[in-house]
Amino acid sequence: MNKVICLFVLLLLVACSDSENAPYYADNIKTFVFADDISVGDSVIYLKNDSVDIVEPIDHYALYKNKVEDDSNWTLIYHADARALAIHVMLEISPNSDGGGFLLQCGSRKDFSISFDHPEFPIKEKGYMLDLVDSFKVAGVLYRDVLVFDGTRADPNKCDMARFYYAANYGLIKVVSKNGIELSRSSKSSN
Amino acid sequence: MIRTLVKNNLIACGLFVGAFVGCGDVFSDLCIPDIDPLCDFQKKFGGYDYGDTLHFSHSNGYTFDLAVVKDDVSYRTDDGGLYNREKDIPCNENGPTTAVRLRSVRLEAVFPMLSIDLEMDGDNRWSQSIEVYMGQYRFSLNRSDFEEKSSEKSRLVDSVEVNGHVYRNVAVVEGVRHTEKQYAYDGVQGVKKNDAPSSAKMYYLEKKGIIKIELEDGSFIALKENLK
Repeated sequence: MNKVICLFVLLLLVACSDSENAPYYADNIKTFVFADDISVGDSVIYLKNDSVDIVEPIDHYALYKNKVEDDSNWTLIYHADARALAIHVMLEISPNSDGGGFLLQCGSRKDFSISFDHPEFPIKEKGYMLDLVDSFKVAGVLYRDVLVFDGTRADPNKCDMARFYYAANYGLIKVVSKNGIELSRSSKSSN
Repeated sequence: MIRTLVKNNLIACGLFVGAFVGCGDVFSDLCIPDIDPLCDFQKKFGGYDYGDTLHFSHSNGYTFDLAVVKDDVSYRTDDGGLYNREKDIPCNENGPTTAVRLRSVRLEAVFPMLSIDLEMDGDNRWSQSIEVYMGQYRFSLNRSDFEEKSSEKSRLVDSVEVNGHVYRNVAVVEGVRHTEKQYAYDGVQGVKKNDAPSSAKMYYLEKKGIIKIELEDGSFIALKENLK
């Protein structure tokens, strides 16, 4: 009888440890990966600043990897590349045993990488910070579920920008240069 | 007795160290790597030195500074290993390790967030060029650009006026643009990468470096030297 109980307890422990290690997404991250309509499918967006007369086209796209029946295995990969300016971002959101992780690549040739593995916002890593805000307004448009990357406390900041803002379903909505110039998402290229 | 013993031990140690150093010399000869150097075109291009500041103007009417924020030399061995210092290149038991010298220069403007990377490779099996990256654009510069009709992608112009300066015998090269497009086919998603010819152009001189970069949309940046 004791052997049966021991075996049962052992099986229970194994089952529990399996569920703890299984990769999953925390609720606040799901919204970035399980969007009904990924409008980043539009390939060109514009970031602009009227006061310094900059309108920069950004080519961006998102795709899913490992799209299998088990939804928890989806990984979202987002790329944004400016035509001429040094705005280059790769953001990968993937499930892990802590509820989801972020891999960011930036720099002029996306040659700098940093991981944010534990989704307890704000996440701080080597002077870089990733935060999550419920909503954020850019050029009069209110975006829900916005990731905020901040490299201003990293020395040196190996990304070519001080901050950028990424909205679920929309992608890049705002970039701030190292000297504070803001480029905001615009629906059209003209001033 | 003790003195003799100490003396003998010291002599033995001396012989041992001497032999070791002697072997070390032979061994270090084998360790001197055989390195393909950079050519003068790559070493002297633009006279760019770390810390320099260059003044540029933008076609939108404003001026800005490009700073030389990086001027690094590194080494790549035949097996693909990368080393920051020549002395870090590992020895080869069968003879000198062969390697090529690399140089990487970055010009950066905090505003308007421009970053221009110049990559140079000393591998002399091929033409030693300078690859210039800016945003999605890449320009391949070669010493032969200053020869008439050396390439379909380059031409030599007698003179170009930029911000009040007249530059003679300027090389103009066409760029390529790197694009990535997401696609979905039969439920599978992927990315198609492409380097396509572009109407973007770079004007340059070996001594002055980059004089002007024109982009596909007609906008440009141009060197703004002090007028004499």
